[in-house]
Amino acid sequence: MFDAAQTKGQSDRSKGPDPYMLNEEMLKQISEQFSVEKGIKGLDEENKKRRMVVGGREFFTHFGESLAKMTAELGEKYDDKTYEAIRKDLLEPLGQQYRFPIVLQRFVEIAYLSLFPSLSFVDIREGSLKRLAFRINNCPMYGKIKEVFPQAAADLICQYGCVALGKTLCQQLRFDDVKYGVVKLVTKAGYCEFEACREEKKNV
Amino acid sequence: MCELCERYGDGYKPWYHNPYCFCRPLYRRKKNIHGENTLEGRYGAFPPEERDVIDYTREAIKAKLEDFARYPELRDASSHYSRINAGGQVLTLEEALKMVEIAWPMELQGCRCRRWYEGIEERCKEDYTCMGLTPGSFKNGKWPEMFRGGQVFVTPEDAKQWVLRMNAEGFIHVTGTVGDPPKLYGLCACDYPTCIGPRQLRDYGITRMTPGHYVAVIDPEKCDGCGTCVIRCQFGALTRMAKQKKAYINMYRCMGCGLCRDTCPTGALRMEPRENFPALVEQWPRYNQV
Repeated sequence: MFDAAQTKGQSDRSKGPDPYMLNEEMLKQISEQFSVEKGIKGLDEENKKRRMVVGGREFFTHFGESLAKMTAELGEKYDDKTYEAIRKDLLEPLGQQYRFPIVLQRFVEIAYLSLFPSLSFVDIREGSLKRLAFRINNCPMYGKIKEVFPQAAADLICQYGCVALGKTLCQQLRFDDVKYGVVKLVTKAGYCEFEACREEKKNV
Repeated sequence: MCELCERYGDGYKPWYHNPYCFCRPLYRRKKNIHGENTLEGRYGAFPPEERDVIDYTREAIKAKLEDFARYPELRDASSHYSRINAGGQVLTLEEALKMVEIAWPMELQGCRCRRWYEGIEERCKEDYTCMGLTPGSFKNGKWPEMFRGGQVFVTPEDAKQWVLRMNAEGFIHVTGTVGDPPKLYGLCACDYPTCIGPRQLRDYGITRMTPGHYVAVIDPEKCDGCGTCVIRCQFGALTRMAKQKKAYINMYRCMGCGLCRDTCPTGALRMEPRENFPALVEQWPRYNQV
């Protein structure tokens, strides 16, 4: 429980960075390594080698895995009051089994807000104990790929990056009983939607 | 179905069983655009239209006492603005129980409304009569004065037991929403006269709350006229007919909470879909009409 009894009755809205929001330095560090420009640059190199299909897929898979690993590391290193409240008010009293989906949601948001600085927030579609689902609308990465490499956009090469990101995040955060996958893709739905589903434990 | 289900149900009925209505991102990039001196800027939870609601409601109550000719217009304006952002919809026990199966996380907290209107401070889990339903609850520490009674996160089983206890004690379950599309931020346990919804409805005719998807129907054969349902009804929809020694329900007043049904010792009351009664469907507000 937050320490309401010991507050002085002052609203915690002092000027300066909001301690409940993500650390801007963390977002900046991730953005410097992973961005739309880096993604296009990597695709360009595969294109020059004339191996856009296979090479592009490998590039984005590696891109997503690396982004996930950096997100997992820096997300723990740079704390914020929201995460502190999750740990102290939810997980400590109720148990670590309630890490899903809220902890995964946090790191997914860190990854996408870093990768796409123009994104205001991640559109969470479901956040129940059984399923986390989120949508990326007007994806800057897809938009840029479509502009520069239309065929790669038609093949949706970048989806491998998002899938790898999600799966690696689940591994890094030790969500062994969570299955990550695609719900909808932008080429058909106009947006990409991903889900992480907690597998029901079977009674032996 | 009500207009909220049409707009926001997305295949789920009722709309407040749509998992999307419970979701919030944990983090946003853009800064608060409303500024520190607005309700939104100070509390971060109320849309700017809340200011219109407060103004019209104050004027409507004043007009009822001092200038009755203006009262109907102000009452209707207050009702309209109250519901622009989907003012709380009344729930049956089953609907509330379903909500706590879907929502995560859930936390119990002291009711701000009871503190504001009745000076009742709720300071521990056993006293709490309010439930927060979204990840926004992790940020309640930003407003220590508003949440000075503290909060306790609960498991789904605890949440279910809380809903059952609130129902047994006679509280009405109401959705707490904010924004457009409406996001569920809480599950309220309301009562008359403390809470704005029932109080404004009964005393001033201001329809702040959205009628539920059900209405109560009496089976007079089973009713023994004990009057328990009359005592339970927070909306004044039930009376006891002295001659017939039976309960009577004014279905136009019934908001569909089901407290009467849950407490009836003979099972004389049942809840039926509001859609089965065309005249009662008219009570659902149309959000694009003044």
